[in-house]
Amino acid sequence: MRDRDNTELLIDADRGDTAAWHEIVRRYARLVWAVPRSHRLSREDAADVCQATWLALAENLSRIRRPERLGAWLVTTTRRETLTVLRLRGREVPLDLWEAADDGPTPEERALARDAGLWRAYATLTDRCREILRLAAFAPELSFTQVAEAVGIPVNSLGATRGRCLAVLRRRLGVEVGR
Amino acid sequence: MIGLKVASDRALLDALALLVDDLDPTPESVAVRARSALVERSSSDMITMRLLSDSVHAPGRPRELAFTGLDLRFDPVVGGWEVTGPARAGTSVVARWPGGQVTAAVAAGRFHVERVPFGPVRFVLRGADASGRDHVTPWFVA
Repeated sequence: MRDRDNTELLIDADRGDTAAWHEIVRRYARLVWAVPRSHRLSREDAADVCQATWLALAENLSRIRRPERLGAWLVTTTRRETLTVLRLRGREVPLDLWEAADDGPTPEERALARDAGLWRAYATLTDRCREILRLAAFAPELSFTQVAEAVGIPVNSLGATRGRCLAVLRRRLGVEVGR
Repeated sequence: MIGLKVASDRALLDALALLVDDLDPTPESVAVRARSALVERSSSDMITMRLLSDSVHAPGRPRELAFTGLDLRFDPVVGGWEVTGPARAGTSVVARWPGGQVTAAVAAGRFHVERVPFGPVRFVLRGADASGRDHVTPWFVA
Protein backbone atom coordinates (compact mmCIF):
# COMPACT_ATOMS: atom_id res chain seq x y z
CA MET A 1 0.00 0.00 0.00
CA ARG A 2 1.30 3.46 -0.89
CA ASP A 3 2.45 5.77 1.93
CA ARG A 4 0.07 8.60 2.67
CA ASP A 5 1.61 12.06 2.36
CA ASN A 6 1.37 14.66 5.11
CA THR A 7 -1.73 16.29 3.63
CA GLU A 8 -3.62 13.00 3.63
CA LEU A 9 -2.40 12.08 7.09
CA LEU A 10 -3.46 15.42 8.57
CA ILE A 11 -6.91 15.23 6.96
CA ASP A 12 -7.43 11.64 8.04
CA ALA A 13 -6.18 12.25 11.56
CA ASP A 14 -8.49 15.26 11.83
CA ARG A 15 -11.37 12.90 11.01
CA GLY A 16 -10.31 10.72 13.92
CA ASP A 17 -8.24 8.14 12.02
CA THR A 18 -5.90 6.93 14.76
CA ALA A 19 -3.74 5.01 12.29
CA ALA A 20 -3.04 8.27 10.45
CA TRP A 21 -2.20 10.00 13.72
CA HIS A 22 0.11 7.19 14.78
CA GLU A 23 1.90 7.44 11.43
CA ILE A 24 2.47 11.17 11.97
CA VAL A 25 3.87 10.41 15.42
CA ARG A 26 6.07 7.65 14.00
CA ARG A 27 7.51 9.96 11.37
CA TYR A 28 8.25 12.91 13.63
CA ALA A 29 8.63 11.66 17.23
CA ARG A 30 12.42 11.52 16.89
CA LEU A 31 12.60 15.06 15.51
CA VAL A 32 10.36 16.48 18.25
CA TRP A 33 12.35 14.71 20.99
CA ALA A 34 15.57 16.14 19.53
CA VAL A 35 14.58 19.75 20.18
CA PRO A 36 14.37 19.87 24.01
CA ARG A 37 17.22 17.38 24.35
CA SER A 38 19.55 19.47 22.20
CA HIS A 39 18.82 22.30 24.65
CA ARG A 40 19.81 19.99 27.54
CA LEU A 41 16.36 19.79 29.10
CA SER A 42 16.05 16.86 31.49
CA ARG A 43 14.25 13.80 30.18
CA GLU A 44 11.22 14.59 32.37
CA ASP A 45 10.93 18.19 31.15
CA ALA A 46 11.61 17.11 27.58
CA ALA A 47 8.80 14.56 27.83
CA ASP A 48 6.38 17.29 29.01
CA VAL A 49 7.45 19.62 26.21
CA CYS A 50 7.01 16.90 23.61
CA GLN A 51 3.58 16.02 24.93
CA ALA A 52 2.52 19.67 24.80
CA THR A 53 3.66 19.77 21.16
CA TRP A 54 1.65 16.69 20.21
CA LEU A 55 -1.41 18.05 22.04
CA ALA A 56 -1.02 21.32 20.14
CA LEU A 57 -0.78 19.49 16.82
CA ALA A 58 -3.85 17.39 17.59
CA GLU A 59 -5.69 20.64 18.27
CA ASN A 60 -4.49 22.27 15.05
CA LEU A 61 -4.68 19.45 12.50
CA SER A 62 -6.99 21.43 10.23
CA ARG A 63 -4.95 24.62 10.58
CA ILE A 64 -1.60 23.39 9.22
CA ARG A 65 -1.45 25.53 6.08
CA ARG A 66 1.57 23.87 4.50
CA PRO A 67 1.54 20.14 5.29
CA GLU A 68 4.83 19.63 3.47
CA ARG A 69 6.38 21.80 6.18
CA LEU A 70 4.90 19.88 9.11
CA GLY A 71 8.38 19.03 10.39
CA ALA A 72 9.30 22.69 10.60
CA TRP A 73 5.97 23.49 12.32
CA LEU A 74 6.68 20.82 14.93
CA VAL A 75 10.22 22.06 15.51
CA THR A 76 9.06 25.66 15.89
CA THR A 77 6.27 24.71 18.31
CA THR A 78 8.54 22.46 20.36
CA ARG A 79 11.32 25.02 20.46
CA ARG A 80 8.98 27.75 21.75
CA GLU A 81 7.86 25.58 24.67
CA THR A 82 11.43 24.39 25.25
CA LEU A 83 12.65 27.96 25.66
CA THR A 84 9.80 28.75 28.05
CA VAL A 85 10.65 25.74 30.24
CA LEU A 86 14.33 26.67 30.10
CA ARG A 87 13.47 30.11 31.45
CA LEU A 88 11.20 28.58 34.11
CA ARG A 89 14.04 26.35 35.28
CA GLY A 90 16.57 29.16 35.05
CA ARG A 91 20.01 28.77 33.54
CA GLU A 92 21.47 29.52 36.96
CA VAL A 93 20.45 26.05 38.09
CA PRO A 94 23.21 23.52 37.39
CA LEU A 95 22.18 21.47 34.41
CA ASP A 96 22.32 17.74 34.71
CA LEU A 97 23.06 16.89 31.11
CA TRP A 98 21.39 13.70 29.96
CA GLU A 99 19.97 13.10 33.40
CA ALA A 100 18.62 9.58 33.47
CA ALA A 101 15.01 8.90 34.49
CA ASP A 102 15.94 5.50 35.88
CA ASP A 103 18.92 3.71 37.36
CA GLY A 104 20.34 2.72 34.00
CA PRO A 105 23.55 4.16 32.58
CA THR A 106 23.38 7.69 31.20
CA PRO A 107 24.13 8.26 27.53
CA GLU A 108 27.50 9.73 28.54
CA GLU A 109 28.35 6.64 30.56
CA ARG A 110 27.35 4.42 27.68
CA ALA A 111 29.34 6.59 25.29
CA LEU A 112 32.39 6.37 27.50
CA ALA A 113 31.92 2.64 27.75
CA ARG A 114 32.09 2.29 23.98
CA ASP A 115 34.60 5.09 23.35
CA ALA A 116 32.15 7.23 21.41
CA GLY A 117 34.37 10.20 20.71
CA LEU A 118 31.79 11.64 18.37
CA TRP A 119 29.28 11.83 21.21
CA ARG A 120 31.75 13.51 23.52
CA ALA A 121 32.67 16.03 20.82
CA TYR A 122 28.99 16.69 20.10
CA ALA A 123 28.19 17.14 23.81
CA THR A 124 30.73 19.99 24.08
CA LEU A 125 29.06 22.07 21.35
CA THR A 126 26.84 25.06 22.10
CA ASP A 127 23.07 24.59 22.37
CA ARG A 128 22.63 26.28 18.99
CA CYS A 129 25.15 24.03 17.28
CA ARG A 130 23.67 20.89 18.83
CA GLU A 131 20.19 21.94 17.72
CA ILE A 132 21.21 22.78 14.15
CA LEU A 133 23.25 19.61 13.72
CA ARG A 134 20.60 17.38 15.28
CA LEU A 135 17.95 18.84 12.97
CA ALA A 136 20.26 18.42 9.99
CA ALA A 137 21.00 14.85 11.04
CA PHE A 138 17.40 13.82 11.68
CA ALA A 139 15.50 15.86 9.11
CA PRO A 140 17.63 16.39 5.99
CA GLU A 141 14.40 17.09 4.12
CA LEU A 142 14.03 20.42 5.96
CA SER A 143 15.22 23.29 3.78
CA PHE A 144 17.67 25.91 5.00
CA THR A 145 14.74 28.32 5.21
CA GLN A 146 12.71 25.94 7.37
CA VAL A 147 15.60 25.22 9.72
CA ALA A 148 16.47 28.91 9.96
CA GLU A 149 12.88 29.79 10.83
CA ALA A 150 12.69 26.95 13.33
CA VAL A 151 15.85 27.89 15.22
CA GLY A 152 15.33 31.62 14.91
CA ILE A 153 18.34 32.76 12.92
CA PRO A 154 18.52 34.57 9.55
CA VAL A 155 18.39 32.16 6.65
CA ASN A 156 21.41 33.78 5.02
CA SER A 157 23.57 32.97 8.03
CA LEU A 158 22.42 29.39 8.56
CA GLY A 159 24.83 27.88 6.06
CA ALA A 160 27.82 29.60 7.62
CA THR A 161 26.67 28.76 11.15
CA ARG A 162 26.11 25.12 10.28
CA GLY A 163 29.53 25.03 8.61
CA ARG A 164 31.18 26.48 11.72
CA CYS A 165 29.39 23.94 13.92
CA LEU A 166 30.61 21.08 11.76
CA ALA A 167 34.14 22.53 11.74
CA VAL A 168 34.15 22.74 15.53
CA LEU A 169 32.84 19.18 15.73
CA ARG A 170 35.63 18.01 13.43
CA ARG A 171 38.27 19.90 15.41
CA ARG A 172 37.08 18.30 18.62
CA LEU A 173 37.08 14.93 16.99
CA GLY A 174 40.69 15.72 16.16
CA VAL A 175 41.37 16.34 19.81
CA GLU A 176 39.80 12.96 20.51
CA VAL A 177 42.24 11.42 18.06
CA GLY A 178 45.14 13.00 19.92
CA ARG A 179 44.11 11.60 23.29
CA MET B 1 37.74 8.80 14.50
CA ILE B 2 40.13 9.99 11.78
CA GLY B 3 37.65 8.65 9.24
CA LEU B 4 34.85 10.77 10.70
CA LYS B 5 37.09 13.83 10.79
CA VAL B 6 37.57 13.72 7.04
CA ALA B 7 34.11 12.37 6.18
CA SER B 8 31.65 14.42 4.12
CA ASP B 9 29.19 16.61 6.01
CA ARG B 10 26.37 14.17 5.23
CA ALA B 11 28.36 11.16 6.38
CA LEU B 12 29.25 12.94 9.62
CA LEU B 13 25.62 13.92 10.22
CA ASP B 14 24.46 10.38 9.44
CA ALA B 15 26.95 9.04 11.97
CA LEU B 16 25.66 11.56 14.49
CA ALA B 17 22.04 10.49 13.83
CA LEU B 18 22.92 6.85 14.40
CA LEU B 19 24.76 7.68 17.59
CA VAL B 20 21.98 9.88 18.99
CA ASP B 21 19.45 7.19 18.16
CA ASP B 22 21.55 4.76 20.12
CA LEU B 23 22.44 6.94 23.10
CA ASP B 24 19.42 9.22 23.49
CA PRO B 25 16.50 7.53 21.74
CA THR B 26 12.94 8.79 22.04
CA PRO B 27 11.60 7.02 25.15
CA GLU B 28 8.72 4.67 24.46
CA SER B 29 6.71 6.46 27.17
CA VAL B 30 7.03 9.70 25.17
CA ALA B 31 5.79 7.96 22.02
CA VAL B 32 2.87 6.46 23.96
CA ARG B 33 1.89 9.89 25.28
CA ALA B 34 2.17 11.32 21.76
CA ARG B 35 -0.09 8.63 20.32
CA SER B 36 -2.71 9.30 23.00
CA ALA B 37 -2.80 13.06 22.32
CA LEU B 38 -5.45 12.75 19.63
CA VAL B 39 -8.17 11.86 22.14
CA GLU B 40 -7.52 15.06 24.10
CA ARG B 41 -8.84 17.33 21.36
CA SER B 42 -11.42 19.90 22.36
CA SER B 43 -14.64 20.69 20.59
CA SER B 44 -13.92 22.54 17.36
CA ASP B 45 -16.32 25.39 18.15
CA MET B 46 -14.28 26.62 21.11
CA ILE B 47 -12.56 29.99 20.79
CA THR B 48 -8.83 29.99 21.51
CA MET B 49 -7.79 32.67 23.99
CA ARG B 50 -4.76 34.74 23.13
CA LEU B 51 -1.79 34.93 25.50
CA LEU B 52 -1.23 38.54 26.57
CA SER B 53 1.67 38.13 28.99
CA ASP B 54 3.72 35.50 30.80
CA SER B 55 5.85 36.25 33.85
CA VAL B 56 8.22 33.44 32.93
CA HIS B 57 10.87 36.11 32.54
CA ALA B 58 10.72 36.86 36.29
CA PRO B 59 12.24 33.75 37.92
CA GLY B 60 11.71 33.17 41.61
CA ARG B 61 8.16 34.53 41.63
CA PRO B 62 4.92 32.62 41.06
CA ARG B 63 4.28 32.29 37.37
CA GLU B 64 1.43 34.44 36.13
CA LEU B 65 -0.10 34.25 32.68
CA ALA B 66 -2.71 36.62 31.28
CA PHE B 67 -5.02 35.44 28.52
CA THR B 68 -7.77 37.40 26.85
CA GLY B 69 -10.45 35.81 29.08
CA LEU B 70 -8.69 35.07 32.35
CA ASP B 71 -5.47 35.34 34.32
CA LEU B 72 -3.66 32.36 35.85
CA ARG B 73 -1.38 32.42 38.89
CA PHE B 74 0.53 29.21 39.66
CA ASP B 75 1.62 28.57 43.25
CA PRO B 76 3.44 25.32 44.03
CA VAL B 77 1.68 22.70 46.17
CA VAL B 78 2.52 19.05 46.78
CA GLY B 79 2.43 17.24 43.44
CA GLY B 80 1.44 20.19 41.32
CA TRP B 81 0.12 23.72 41.28
CA GLU B 82 -2.65 25.67 42.95
CA VAL B 83 -4.13 27.94 40.29
CA THR B 84 -6.07 31.11 41.01
CA GLY B 85 -7.07 34.20 39.15
CA PRO B 86 -9.72 36.51 37.85
CA ALA B 87 -12.03 35.39 35.05
CA ARG B 88 -13.35 38.28 33.02
CA ALA B 89 -16.41 36.33 31.87
CA GLY B 90 -17.96 32.88 32.09
CA THR B 91 -19.50 30.72 34.76
CA SER B 92 -16.76 28.20 35.49
CA VAL B 93 -13.15 27.35 34.69
CA VAL B 94 -12.06 23.84 33.73
CA ALA B 95 -8.41 22.90 34.18
CA ARG B 96 -7.57 20.07 31.77
CA TRP B 97 -4.52 17.84 31.55
CA PRO B 98 -4.00 14.62 29.62
CA GLY B 99 -6.34 12.10 31.18
CA GLY B 100 -8.00 14.38 33.71
CA GLN B 101 -9.71 17.63 34.54
CA VAL B 102 -11.21 19.60 37.41
CA THR B 103 -13.90 22.30 37.34
CA ALA B 104 -14.02 25.40 39.52
CA ALA B 105 -16.88 27.88 39.73
CA VAL B 106 -16.33 31.53 38.93
CA ALA B 107 -17.50 33.47 42.00
CA ALA B 108 -17.30 37.26 42.20
CA GLY B 109 -15.15 37.18 39.10
CA ARG B 110 -12.52 34.80 40.52
CA PHE B 111 -11.79 31.08 40.46
CA HIS B 112 -9.62 28.74 42.51
CA VAL B 113 -8.30 25.32 41.47
CA GLU B 114 -6.73 23.43 44.37
CA ARG B 115 -4.31 21.33 42.37
CA VAL B 116 -3.32 20.65 38.79
CA PRO B 117 -0.46 18.24 38.13
CA PHE B 118 2.87 19.28 36.67
CA GLY B 119 3.12 18.99 32.91
CA PRO B 120 0.93 20.05 30.00
CA VAL B 121 -2.29 21.80 30.93
CA ARG B 122 -4.95 24.03 29.39
CA PHE B 123 -7.88 25.98 30.77
CA VAL B 124 -11.44 26.24 29.48
CA LEU B 125 -13.64 29.20 30.33
CA ARG B 126 -17.22 27.97 30.18
CA GLY B 127 -19.85 30.27 28.64
CA ALA B 128 -17.33 32.99 28.03
CA ASP B 129 -19.20 35.07 25.45
CA ALA B 130 -22.71 36.29 24.69
CA SER B 131 -23.45 33.23 22.55
CA GLY B 132 -22.50 30.96 25.43
CA ARG B 133 -19.44 29.51 23.72
CA ASP B 134 -16.45 28.23 25.63
CA HIS B 135 -13.05 29.86 25.31
CA VAL B 136 -9.87 27.83 25.78
CA THR B 137 -6.17 28.48 26.27
CA PRO B 138 -3.59 26.67 24.16
CA TRP B 139 -1.75 23.75 25.76
CA PHE B 140 1.35 24.76 27.70
CA VAL B 141 3.71 23.19 30.23
CA ALA B 142 2.90 24.35 33.76
